[in-house]
Amino acid sequence: MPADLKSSMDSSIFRIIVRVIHSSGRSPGLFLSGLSWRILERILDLLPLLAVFFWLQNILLSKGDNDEAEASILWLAGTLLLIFLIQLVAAWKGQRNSFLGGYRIMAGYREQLLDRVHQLPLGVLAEYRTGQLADMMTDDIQRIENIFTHQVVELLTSLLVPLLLFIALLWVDWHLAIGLMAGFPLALLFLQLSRNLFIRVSQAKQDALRYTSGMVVEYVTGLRTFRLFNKAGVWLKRLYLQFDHITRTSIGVEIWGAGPVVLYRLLTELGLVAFLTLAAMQIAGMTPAQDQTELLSLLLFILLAYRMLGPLLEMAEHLAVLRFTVQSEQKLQQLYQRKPLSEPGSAEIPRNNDLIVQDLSFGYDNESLILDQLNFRVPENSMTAIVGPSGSGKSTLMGLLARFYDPQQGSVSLGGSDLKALGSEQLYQKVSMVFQQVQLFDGTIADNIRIGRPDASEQQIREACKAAWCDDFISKLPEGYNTRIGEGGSCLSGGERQRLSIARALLKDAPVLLLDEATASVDTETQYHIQRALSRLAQGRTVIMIAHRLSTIRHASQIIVLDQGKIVQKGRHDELLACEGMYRTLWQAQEGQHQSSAAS
Amino acid sequence: MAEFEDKAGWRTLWFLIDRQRTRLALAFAFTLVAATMELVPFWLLAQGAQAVLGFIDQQSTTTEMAETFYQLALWMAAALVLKTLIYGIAYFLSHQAAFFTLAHTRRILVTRLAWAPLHWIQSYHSGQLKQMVLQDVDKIENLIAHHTVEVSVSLLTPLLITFYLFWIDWRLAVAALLVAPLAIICSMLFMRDMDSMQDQYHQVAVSLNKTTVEYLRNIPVMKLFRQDARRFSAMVQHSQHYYSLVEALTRLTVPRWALFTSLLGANMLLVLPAGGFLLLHNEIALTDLILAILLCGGMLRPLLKISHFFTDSREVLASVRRLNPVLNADNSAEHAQQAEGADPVSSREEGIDVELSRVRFSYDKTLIIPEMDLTLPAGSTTVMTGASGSGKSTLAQLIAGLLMPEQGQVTINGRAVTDLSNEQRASLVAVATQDAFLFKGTIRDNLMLARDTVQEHDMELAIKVAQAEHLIQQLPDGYDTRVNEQGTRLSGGERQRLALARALLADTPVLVLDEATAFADNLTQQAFYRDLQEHYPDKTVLIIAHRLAGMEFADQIIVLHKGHIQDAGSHTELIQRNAYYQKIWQLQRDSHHWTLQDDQACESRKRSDVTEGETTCLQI
Repeated sequence: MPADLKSSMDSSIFRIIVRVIHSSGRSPGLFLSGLSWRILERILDLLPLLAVFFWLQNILLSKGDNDEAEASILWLAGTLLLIFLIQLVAAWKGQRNSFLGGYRIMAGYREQLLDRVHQLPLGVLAEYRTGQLADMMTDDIQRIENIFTHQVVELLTSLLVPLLLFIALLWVDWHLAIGLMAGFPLALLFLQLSRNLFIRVSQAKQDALRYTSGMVVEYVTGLRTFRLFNKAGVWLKRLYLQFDHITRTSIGVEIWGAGPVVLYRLLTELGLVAFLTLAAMQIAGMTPAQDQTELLSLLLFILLAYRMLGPLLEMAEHLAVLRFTVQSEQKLQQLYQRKPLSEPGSAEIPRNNDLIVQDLSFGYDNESLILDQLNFRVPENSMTAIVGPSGSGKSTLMGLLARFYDPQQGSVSLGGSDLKALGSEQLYQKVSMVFQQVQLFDGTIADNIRIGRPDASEQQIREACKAAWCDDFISKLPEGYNTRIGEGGSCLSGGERQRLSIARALLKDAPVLLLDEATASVDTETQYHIQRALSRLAQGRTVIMIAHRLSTIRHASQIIVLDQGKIVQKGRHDELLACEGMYRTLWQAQEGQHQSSAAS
Repeated sequence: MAEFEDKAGWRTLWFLIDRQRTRLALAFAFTLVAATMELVPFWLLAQGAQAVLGFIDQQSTTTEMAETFYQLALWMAAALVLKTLIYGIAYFLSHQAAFFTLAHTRRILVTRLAWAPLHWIQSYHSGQLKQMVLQDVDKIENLIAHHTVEVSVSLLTPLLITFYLFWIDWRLAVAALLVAPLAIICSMLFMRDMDSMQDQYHQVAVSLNKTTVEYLRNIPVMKLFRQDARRFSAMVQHSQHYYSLVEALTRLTVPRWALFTSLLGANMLLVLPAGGFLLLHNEIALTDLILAILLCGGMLRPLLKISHFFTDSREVLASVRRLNPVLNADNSAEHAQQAEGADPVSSREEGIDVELSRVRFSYDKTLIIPEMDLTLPAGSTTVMTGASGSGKSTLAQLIAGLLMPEQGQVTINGRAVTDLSNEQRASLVAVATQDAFLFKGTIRDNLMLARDTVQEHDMELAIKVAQAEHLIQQLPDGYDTRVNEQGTRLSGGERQRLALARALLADTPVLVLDEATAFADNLTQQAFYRDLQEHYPDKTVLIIAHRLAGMEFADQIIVLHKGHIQDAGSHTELIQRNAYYQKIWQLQRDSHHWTLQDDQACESRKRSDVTEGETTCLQI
């Protein structure tokens, strides 16, 4: 029977428990010891009833003698007190060990996950939406932690104690025991069958919530526009409808989610009916000889019936709570299984600053290639520009040069060593980047600049900032260089962030520069200064740059024209302009028809 | 303090469940019945015991006893089904009440947002507002849907059992309840520093989450600057610190919690000996004792649920309190709108002028515009420029009616903007700003936001003037391409061009362009203003810009400095007399001719000041 039960149990929950323990890399010893003590505690909880039963048996069978009976009451009280004390110890040890054990497992689990995230390629990290990873590593882990430290033990004890009791009762009277337990397997089966349905409706609810979340964000961000066009009312009506839709799906989820739980409880409890019926049949077929003992065991069953069914009824609640963590665990498990970026055991040192791209192919999934068989060489101290229509793979190529991903085929090498053999440490020592998405971290402005060269003096930081035209706005901030920039530097404008990253790159002074030219919308004067700072930054380095305005790369040593992941043209500005091709088309689109007015 | 805050939370909650009170009362009624029904199976089991004892006393035969058991089985089935049914109804009602409350609350929130002052809304991150409308509101569900039923059952069941025990024998009841005061005293002791411990736990948990979020956010920079190993070990240390504190707290709380829970379950310890004593002295019947034993075991345990309820409710109340700022948001605009009603709009008259008279505006106690007088004559084009922070955008918002002047007024053809209804204002003024907002949907939907019907050639003209013709041609489904969804990502410049077209399509006599071509290159910008002049000559246009290419034609150009009009005139006038204006033009020209490897220019610029040493001449 127990084996039978196990297979019909909500197996994914047990798989999750095992998987979390396994992923944590910690020993579950303490946790299991806690579980054992808890089971002992719950078994001791049954003993008073047994004591009463034997006491009653005594009284019923040996009628009369009041003195002896009164003395037996003292015995009974003494036994109960002793049981209580042992139970208290078991409760204490059980709770302590299961909590501590649970927390230890979770500490390991958290550490392991952090370690995985830490090793992920930057490109993979960027695939997660803003905050998504943070939600997973805080809310989802927290959810699993609460479950693991509180619910799991409860679930296991409320399953195991009744099963132990059931086995003991089988031994007393197997008919009645099976009768009492008859509803439970059916109830479980029912719960299991309803599970897929529940998953489907709750998925529908999740989808509705996600959709609404998008709508609310859109509503809030677009509110200014909606008001200007007097359309806020229209959007409000849409939101109202959507909220009503959520109400309907939510009620549906409750019916399909709580309904089966209610019926599970009913079916389990109906074991009482089977028990009473079987008892009646047994009594009807009783021979006078067996009467007394049979009947006393009936009394024992009556006393213990709810002690067996009660925990099973409770179990439904724990199961329901646990179900909500299944999704959290699965998300984390997927994260856990992502392939980390390999780091070499001993890093090679690049011989020079030549960058060579060889047979490079890459796709985010295995189906479509974003970059297809690229070959080019960027000699030391030269400048290479990458141009092409949007979606041609420029940023992806840049990402591969910075090793945000490893290519599926071919290689990128710096100074004769494959980037994989260089490792992040060597690579990022040699390479600076100034990209559109400027990466600032939580800290002061000075910290954000200094990270380019940790041993830089205040003076050097200030000079770098002056050269990047940011000293001016930094000095105007309330705390100057010590102003903290929170959450990705959100209190700074795009232009200001860009200038900080230029200052940082200037300070870092790495021989290779990856640059995305797009200038954020800044006022004329600032734009002028940013351009000068960029020119200065580019001097004397190996530069690879994504260019949006072709006029800025007229002097590049080589221009690579990308289209749909392939190199379609390669050469200098004049050469490319002289021949028919994509470059000339792009140039004409940008400058062509207006050229005369621009030159004036 | 905490209690005061809780009270505020409860008050808000009471306000929010307003329309569901009847339904909730009904749910309570059903719960009461269900709680009573909980006791019936125990009573039936005790009847079984009585039958057995009766037989042992030889008062009945086996057939009679079997008959009794058959009957009991039947009653049991009926009782269980009925109980389930009643519970089902109670839960259904409480869930309905909960979900209706959630929808109601969300409606209130988004409606408040629709009319709240924009600058106030902008002090929130859109994620925060989403968090409120969805997640924070969602927390209420648990409290209304589950706790209403469960907490009342947890309270009612022990109460009913106590009544019943009193009815059997008062001494038995006292014995059963005697552990309760002990447990309660114990729990009071327990709860006393429980609060502070919980705060402590909460603090480390919050701080761990904060560190984690920060760590994750910063991983990319840290990796690129080879700081990640250090950051990672700091992160792991923080996690270890959290767990060691949790462990210390667990060690402290567990003994007390174990004592508390054990005591709650320990009433057998007194009931059994007391019952036995009473039985031996024939004060109570054996059946009564058995029923008492069946009911007493764990009768106080449901009280544990109430302690869970208190822990949960704190969290829910915290969420509810977070809603308060929006619930109490200034909705005077909403009422003003409703009071106004429809008033015939006179936007079709010839030429509309805009006038600012003695307008003063400050934000957050910073004076942005001290006093401004300005006229935008009907059909004219005005360009406003100036360093950032000069108050240009504020002026645009004042004219569009998004901000209200502190003093003075903005009038459109003599009528104060603040007196116009939203509809009237929207039909008079269209605004395009730097951050162009497009919603999910097709390009056509987005373009037609302002109007319900648009002639195809109007649409094409607007797109052509906004320099978006080529963009539309490039898109897979042209006007029917869906934007802001997976697949189609538009750049900032592309979005701006669509927003321009939308503002043109709104067909308003007044057009305000607030850095609306900021992402466009000079050539596109020039083309746009040229086409705007040509195809929409009657519009009264205000252009706010820091890049001035193509705006030489403007009727008046205003140089704004710290909220004052520093200079105003035509391009030819300003280029001759205004230093700021001259500088802007000079820099603009230089920027346009820049190349990355502008080595010599770079070197020379480093040494000389920006405004001097220019060799290129201005030829306009």
